[in-house]
Amino acid sequence: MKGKKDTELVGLVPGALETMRIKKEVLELGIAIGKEVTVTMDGFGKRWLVVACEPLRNKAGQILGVITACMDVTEQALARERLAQMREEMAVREATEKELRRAIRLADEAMEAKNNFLAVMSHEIRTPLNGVLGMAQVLATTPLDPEQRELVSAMVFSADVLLAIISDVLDLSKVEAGTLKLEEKELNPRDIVKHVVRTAIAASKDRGITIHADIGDDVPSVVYGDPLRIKQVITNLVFNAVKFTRKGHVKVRLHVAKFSMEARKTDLKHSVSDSLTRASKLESTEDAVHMTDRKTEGNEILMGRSSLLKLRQLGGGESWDPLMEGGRRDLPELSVTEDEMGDTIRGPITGTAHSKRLMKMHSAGFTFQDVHEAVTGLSGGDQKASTGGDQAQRDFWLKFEIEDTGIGIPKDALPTLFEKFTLVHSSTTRKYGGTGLGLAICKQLVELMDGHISVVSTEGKGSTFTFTLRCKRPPAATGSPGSAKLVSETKMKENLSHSTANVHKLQAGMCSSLKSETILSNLQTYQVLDDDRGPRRSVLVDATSYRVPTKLPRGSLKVRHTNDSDCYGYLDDSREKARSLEEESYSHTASWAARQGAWTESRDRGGVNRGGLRRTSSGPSRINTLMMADLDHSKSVPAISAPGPVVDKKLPSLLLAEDNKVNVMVALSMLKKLGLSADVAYNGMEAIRALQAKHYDLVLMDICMPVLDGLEVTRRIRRYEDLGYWDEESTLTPSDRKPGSPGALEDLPLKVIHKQSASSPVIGLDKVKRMPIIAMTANALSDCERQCSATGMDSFMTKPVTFKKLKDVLALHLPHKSSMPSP
Amino acid sequence: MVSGRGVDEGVFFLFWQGILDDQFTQLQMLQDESTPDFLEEVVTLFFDDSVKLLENLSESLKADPLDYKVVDGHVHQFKGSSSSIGAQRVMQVCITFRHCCDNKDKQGCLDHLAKAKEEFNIVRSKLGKMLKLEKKIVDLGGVLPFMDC
Repeated sequence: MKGKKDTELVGLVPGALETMRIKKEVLELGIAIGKEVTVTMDGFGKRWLVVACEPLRNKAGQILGVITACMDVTEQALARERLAQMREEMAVREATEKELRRAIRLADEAMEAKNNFLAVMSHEIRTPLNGVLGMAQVLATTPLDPEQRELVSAMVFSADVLLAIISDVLDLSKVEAGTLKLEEKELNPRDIVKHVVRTAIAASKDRGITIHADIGDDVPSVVYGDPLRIKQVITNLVFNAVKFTRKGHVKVRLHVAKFSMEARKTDLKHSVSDSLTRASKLESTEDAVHMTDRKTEGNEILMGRSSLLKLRQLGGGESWDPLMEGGRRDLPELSVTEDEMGDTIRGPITGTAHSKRLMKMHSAGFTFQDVHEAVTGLSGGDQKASTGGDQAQRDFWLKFEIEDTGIGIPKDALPTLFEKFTLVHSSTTRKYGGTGLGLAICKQLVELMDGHISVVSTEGKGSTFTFTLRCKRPPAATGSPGSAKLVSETKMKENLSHSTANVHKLQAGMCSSLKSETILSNLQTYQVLDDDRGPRRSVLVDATSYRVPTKLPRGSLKVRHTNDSDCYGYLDDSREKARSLEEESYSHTASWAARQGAWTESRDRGGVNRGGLRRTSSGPSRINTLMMADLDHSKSVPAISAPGPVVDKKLPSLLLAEDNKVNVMVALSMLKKLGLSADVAYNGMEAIRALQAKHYDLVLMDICMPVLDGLEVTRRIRRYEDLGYWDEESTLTPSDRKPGSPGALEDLPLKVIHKQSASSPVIGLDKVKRMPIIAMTANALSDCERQCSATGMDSFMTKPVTFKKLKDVLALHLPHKSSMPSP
Repeated sequence: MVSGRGVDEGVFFLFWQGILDDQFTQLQMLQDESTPDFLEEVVTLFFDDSVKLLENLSESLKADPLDYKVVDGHVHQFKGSSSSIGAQRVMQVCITFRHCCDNKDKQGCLDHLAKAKEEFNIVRSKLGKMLKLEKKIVDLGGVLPFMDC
């Protein structure tokens, strides 16, 4: 190129033309220019060159020529392109991620909306359906001919099935929405199993199958868990087994699974659906998997976190077994099964060894069974004992197996068995009924309880459902061993999903009528410290509440109804009140006002839900009711200690001026609930006479009364208080008093006259202390209220009088100071 | 078969249909071990009292000249006792009945008397049956469910 002009190089040298143009531009503009030029060179391919050109000037500033430099920046250019490409890809990826996040969010919202919808609709559907069912049951008690009875039975059956479906849907949606809360409290797993088995036996006595329980000696009788949900799962599985078994047996086994928590942490956590999905994908394993010698390399042992699943079919057309863990012990083992204790796989990160596993081969297929051993450390003697802490030692696993000799499950149905709305076969559904929710719920609940569920089944021979649950043993006993009593399932009414159980029974033709079973939900236990009597267990049930028939002894389940301010010393409960009322004497150490102080104390101590009145869409108010069962059966007085000795042992003296007998009865009953009683006057004149005869601490005054209305009575009372005596006008018999109107005080029915303490003599000319007068009227208008106030009344209660209104007004107006307990 | 659930559902329906209101639950709360028959007693008292009141009302509406104050007095009583029991529909009829008395509307009064009788009979019939069933359940050792409405 040396000695040649640019024009001569154009066409010969790649980039010569562009270089020439740059130089020309520099000469014309007189400024330095740098440009990137792309050239293609034979043998080198595409190259990127930076051409930098600047003018060369003399001292006078005249341009003499140009200086040009050319640099190969191909690598940088390529890097730049790659960077741009990467940026573009990143942008695309971010956009995709954003879209995915949005889709996930929408899906979550949709799921939440769906679950809320299900929950609300289930409740709204269930409420009137309960009504329909209840009416049908009431109808069943009336005289019916055989045809009518059959129709009613069908109605009851259908309604019950529908209720069960709705309950299942609701349960499932709660679990999926994460709103189902598990409880942790003491329970007896033995009792639970026994009870379910007994129920199943009772329900299936005509079916000719045997149902029994086999509980290991190592199963403790006290563990911590959620008894309701455990029972729900067992019930579902047992009643499923009974439903699909026509001959033979159903066996429920319970024992402690023998492996440590450490092992469980590392490798045993896998979900049924994952494993089943894998199982279903191993379509060719029936052909591909063959049992060979049980050497490590050919061994079918599956280890590791995914822990599953080489499935194998032995022989022709025998059982399919996509099992996770557990296995059938009742089947014979093949001779080839042993010699498997070899391998230990090191975990990838922790180095903790996985537990060893055994696989036993059975003639009916194979199962996968854990041989549970303690976690070992690294090989080479670096073993770590799975000491765990106290927590780990307390944790253990219970294993439940429900085995039946029923129709079994086809192998192609196994992978989706635990999914929602899957039924084995439509013909099965037609014959046996079912919604396809039971097993899905079982799976969800078991996994929620940190457990696993699996199944082994042979079509035509039977199935075994196995689930394990993590439980805790209670801590070492604190305090006196005998004082805390276990809240036993057998002593409490169960919150069994009784509709589900009934549906199973009905569908399986086990019973034709329903027993009413009481249902409790939301059991909570807490310990009420009972002064110096050691801890005592009491159970609070917040939900459907029950009125207790009077035949129940004290200490049994009781009904306790509260509204928003009333938990008036339930612990100082009706036993106490009944005793004192029976004595008809208030010489109890606590006066009424002091008792009220105790009520406040007990209310705060108990932590009781005192939800108030509120309107529901169905109209009537909802009153949260609480039931407290004192399972201690202690004879001791309940926890609230009475206040210290008080000076004034007398309870307030009340007068009720009311002409309506029904209102009188209701008001007196309310007062009795408050530990009070009242004298009754049926008209205004009687009220005056009563007041003349005796001092009262407070008067409840109906406004509209015959003979003399409440306003006039009030005026006369205030005049008496001002004067210090009853003037003539106050004692005048009204001229329009009709014969036959309710009699004078002396004619009042004895039952409403309560024993009185020594009467105070009518006070003479001394100024009389003002007595609170509370108006009771159906007229809620403000004018009426003003009128009452103007007359001298102190408070105003609209009718109908409720317990709360009465309690509040009495608390406000009754004298305290002489009857308040000393601190 | 006697079902506690049937009782509960029956009472529920009385609420649902507006025959009973919250006040009835107040009365249910007042029944306990020391007053096991309270509800039955007060409801029976209401039934007996109401029969007399309705008879009095019939008589007073036959009087000539008609004394609306007397009529109003009886209606007032009926209204009071029905509201104490929680017999909502009866109470509502009584409220409008009183307006007829205030307006001295004889025909209105007569119509309302008929309506009051009808509503009272409904309450008496349904509530009476519920209470009988409840008693039967308790006598047989059953438990009465008390449902949130």
